[in-house]
Amino acid sequence: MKTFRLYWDKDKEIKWLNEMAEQGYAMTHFFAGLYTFEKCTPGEYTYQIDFGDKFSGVSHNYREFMKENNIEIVQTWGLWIILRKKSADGPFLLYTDIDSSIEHYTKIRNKLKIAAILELFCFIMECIVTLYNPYMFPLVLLIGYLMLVIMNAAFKTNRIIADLKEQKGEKVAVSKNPSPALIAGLLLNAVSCGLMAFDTPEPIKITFHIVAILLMIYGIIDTFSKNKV
Amino acid sequence: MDKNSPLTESIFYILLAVRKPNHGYGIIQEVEQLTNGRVVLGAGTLYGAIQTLEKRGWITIYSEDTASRKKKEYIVTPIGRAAFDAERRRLAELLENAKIMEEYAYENLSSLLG
Repeated sequence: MKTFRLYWDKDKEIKWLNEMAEQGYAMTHFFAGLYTFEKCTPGEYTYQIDFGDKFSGVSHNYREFMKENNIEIVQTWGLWIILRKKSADGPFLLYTDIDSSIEHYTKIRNKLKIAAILELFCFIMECIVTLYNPYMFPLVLLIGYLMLVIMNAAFKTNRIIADLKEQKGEKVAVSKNPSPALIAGLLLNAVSCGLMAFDTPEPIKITFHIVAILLMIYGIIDTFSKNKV
Repeated sequence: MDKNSPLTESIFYILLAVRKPNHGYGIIQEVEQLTNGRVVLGAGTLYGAIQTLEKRGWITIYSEDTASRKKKEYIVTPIGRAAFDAERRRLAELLENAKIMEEYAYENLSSLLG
């Protein structure tokens, strides 16, 4: 059985994979959002997702270590490592203390931040391309959407880290920084103002403006909700 | 070494478990037994801790016999041992000072009884 899904939140992905296993479908393969499942005894496996350091799969050391602990590496995809363990071999948790959980989520957040910045860069590039070739416009929307999704995932991870730090009794520095979405919105607003100078088709101008305004609104909300903590 | 003090519970028990050559799964089992199941190290936590401890020079690889598929074993180094002892002194101080609480309660009680 094959299912197509896109996840940015690894906790949700784990939950889904474990629900599938509970129903008798064990995930065996992943390729670009396409999950392959095989039949298994309901609840035979427990899944977990780890985050590696390099794009080229996991180190020999890591593989051996997991094998020794009866953990199977089902699939690596970029930095994502999908692992499973036979439920009969006991409970399966990867990070069991606050310090290592903070480290784990910090690693995820930093990578999401890089991805968001790259998307922002692509977005601006595409915007410029659209000036000359209006047919590229759907791509702009898609990249803009992806950028928002990644930013949202980064903020959520940030909140998880803040909660963990609070649990540890560490004083969480309340961020007074404006949300990156706000900055992105302002930038895009500048781009769309620049568009006015050119002879750009009307629908493109309007959509640019709408996206810029949405980003700014989202950015303002996010800035406030972050600083409320 | 100050930055690494106090030791986290996981690090403390990992160091204890590698006083003798021990491998990953062995460490998890021993820590679980020592704490009556209270501390069960996750594989990710232990893997990360081993990497950190190796980098700090607190533990080292004891044996790695890949030909006979023997598991990788780790053992504490003198630096790791020193860090463990420093932590132990810190904990002993805590316990010693904790007695003040009892003494105070006892004094109060005896003064009440006259």
